[in-house]
Amino acid sequence: MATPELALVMPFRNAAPWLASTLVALRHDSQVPVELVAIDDGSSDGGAELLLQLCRHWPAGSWRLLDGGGRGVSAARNQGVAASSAPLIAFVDADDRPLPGRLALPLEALQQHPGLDHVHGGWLRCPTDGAAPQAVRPWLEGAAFDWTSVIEYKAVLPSAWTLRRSAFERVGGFDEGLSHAEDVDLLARLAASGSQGAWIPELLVRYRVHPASASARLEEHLQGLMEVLERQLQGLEPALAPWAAEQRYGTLTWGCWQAWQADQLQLALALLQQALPACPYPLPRRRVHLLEVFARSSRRVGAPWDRQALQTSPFWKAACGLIEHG
Amino acid sequence: MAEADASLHAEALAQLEAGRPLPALVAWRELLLAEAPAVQAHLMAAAAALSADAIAPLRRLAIALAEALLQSEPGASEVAALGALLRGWGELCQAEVPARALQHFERAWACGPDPQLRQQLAQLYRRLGYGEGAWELGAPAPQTEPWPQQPCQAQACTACAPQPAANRELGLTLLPQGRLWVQRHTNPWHTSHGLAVLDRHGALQPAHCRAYPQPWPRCPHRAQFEAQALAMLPWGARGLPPLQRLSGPVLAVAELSAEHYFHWQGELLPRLGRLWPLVQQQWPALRLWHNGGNTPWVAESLARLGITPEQTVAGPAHIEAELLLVPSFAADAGVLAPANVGWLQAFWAVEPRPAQGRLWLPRCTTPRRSVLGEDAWLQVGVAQPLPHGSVADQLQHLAAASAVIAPHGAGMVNLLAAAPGSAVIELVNPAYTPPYFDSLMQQRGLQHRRLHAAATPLPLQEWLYEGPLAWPIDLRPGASPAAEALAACP
Repeated sequence: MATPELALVMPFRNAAPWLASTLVALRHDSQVPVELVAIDDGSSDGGAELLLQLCRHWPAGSWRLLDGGGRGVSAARNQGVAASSAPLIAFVDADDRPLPGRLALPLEALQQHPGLDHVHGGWLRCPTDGAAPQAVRPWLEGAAFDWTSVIEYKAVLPSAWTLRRSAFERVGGFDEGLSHAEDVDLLARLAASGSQGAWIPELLVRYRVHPASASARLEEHLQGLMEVLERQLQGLEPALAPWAAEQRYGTLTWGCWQAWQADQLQLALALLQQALPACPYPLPRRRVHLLEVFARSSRRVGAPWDRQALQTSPFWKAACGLIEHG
Repeated sequence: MAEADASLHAEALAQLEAGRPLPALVAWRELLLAEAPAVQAHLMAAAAALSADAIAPLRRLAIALAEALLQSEPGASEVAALGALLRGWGELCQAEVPARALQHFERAWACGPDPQLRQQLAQLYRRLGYGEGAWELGAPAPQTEPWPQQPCQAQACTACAPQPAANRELGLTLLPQGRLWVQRHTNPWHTSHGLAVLDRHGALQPAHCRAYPQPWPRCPHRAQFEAQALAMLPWGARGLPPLQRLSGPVLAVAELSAEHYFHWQGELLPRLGRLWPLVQQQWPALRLWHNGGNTPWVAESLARLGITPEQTVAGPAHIEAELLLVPSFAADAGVLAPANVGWLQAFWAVEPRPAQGRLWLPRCTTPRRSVLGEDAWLQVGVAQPLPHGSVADQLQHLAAASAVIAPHGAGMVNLLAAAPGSAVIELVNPAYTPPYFDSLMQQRGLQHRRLHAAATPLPLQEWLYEGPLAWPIDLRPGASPAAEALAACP
């Protein structure tokens, strides 16, 4: 069988409940010939066996299952890429559900524009707690693929991302030392290397948002993101220091909102406290900025927003106390 | 200014913005004491000009605060004075330079928030884009004009300024029931900072519209500036006086800051003069509208052009004419185009003559832009001061000088009469060196030197003055390279 143009790399760990729907969606996507590389990253729920069963009628050579050994999602994705041979690589996480066009649209874009190194679509953010899905279209907010924009917006979701193998390999793929924000890190390194990216202005995947199950997990994720950000901001020329300070502060205050949204109020206050020593804004703007971050972030994900309720809450009083008195 | 001073000033600002006014004032006291003679000179000059100062109350606050800090360590009353001063500056520039106003108000916050300040900040934050966040301080008005973006420093940018001045073809647009309005600063000087020309349907005519900030002709951000001007101008229409309808044909000539001598002489007058005879020939009942005001130099120019007061429509800022005739701009804003200079030389009958003697070209007589130590140089006879008189007289004096010493200012436009080959020493504040006259001096073949006067002390730059344009030229003997050069003059 000839090598398909596109390899689909799908890591999974304990994703058995969603594997069937994900694979069905992929089969229904289009007539795109695709090489599926699934990597079991240490499942204990029988996911590997289920995948073998689900794919048993697929044409031979069109899929394979690898044992990732539980080394983490970055290593699993790199392993999948290394095991494939197609010149284009699409990622999908097993618990996300591809929408029609997930494979065909990026393939078409990259075939028509040889100068592009990667393309990214929008996604439908689907909370598993029953809240309404929310379309995420970062291009409408101004996000782009140059390095500055990548750092400012950090708009990336692997399940909606398709890259040329050459670009992926040129920057060394995912950093296997990172357990969080590895996608932001890769996007930033691609941008820094001069890779060209573009938006596909369509929603390509249903992104399943699991409730932040434990305080530790959210905190780890946010600190991981800060680590990636710091890595990128190191060594900037002094003229960019104010901009870098805004990025640090903006990311931490967004994290504060995330924790507040997840009802982890102590974590939210701790993140705010972490942010404040390097706050680039004058005193009166700090509360204004924080309220704006909360409003915009809530609206972006379709979460209910009640300004007055927030402003009269004990949490906000505590947050303002931190802002005013450190 | 020493790097250490700038660093201490930046540190003081950071303290203030973080809500700690006392350490900020302590740092500023240190700066003031370190430059006490210069500070005293600035304070004395500002105090001496208070009687004619349009913003005397604000300037008094600044003088009092600086004097108090020179005397003793700061306390609660100095904190309160600083707050009042910063709020005053913020209010002065709130309408036209919101970014600067925001900076002043945010710094004033540390000196004691008050309900009015909260509201002012809420409004500015709303305008800046904190639509929801602004509610943390107050209830902002629902509709606010856009926040002006400045992609570069416009004419304060020196990177793309040096270039030969270019002519533009001078044309005329006829607009039946055309409308024109001038947006004036809301500060006490009320100079024109936006010009809008509209057709009978109310559509802006972009080629005839201008607003500050203006970029240099080859600025890479020019299109952004122009688009922003067109977006902002309609907001300026909100505070206009009632429309004045004028019958018959009206030639309307407007320039940004036309109330200032430089813009009148260098831009508006040649544009008017080059067209007036031709247009009047076609429309004998023609009347003139302009935004140059009614200063003696305007009256002299119009009389020389043969335009009588009866032919002039006196100063409404918002007109509609039965037939509005609008000349195109003869040059980019602030540029002395060769065709304009050539016309001015012919108009003022500037004749070449044997040049001899050194002339001192004083800065304008308003207290807003002072020259410190000027008298000392005139007393020792470093140059003869240009005698007061009509524009025509002054030009004749300049034509007869072999060297001109000129603190940078509007009067330098009169160098259009300077004898080719004569020397010009331009004295500037080191922080304000716009190249407005460079092209004129090249056109006239003048030998131009620019010398730096002493820097304006921190924090007086921000307390005592509107901005770099108003920083004095400090020529006190021994205090600057400019003073040393003057001392060396034979």
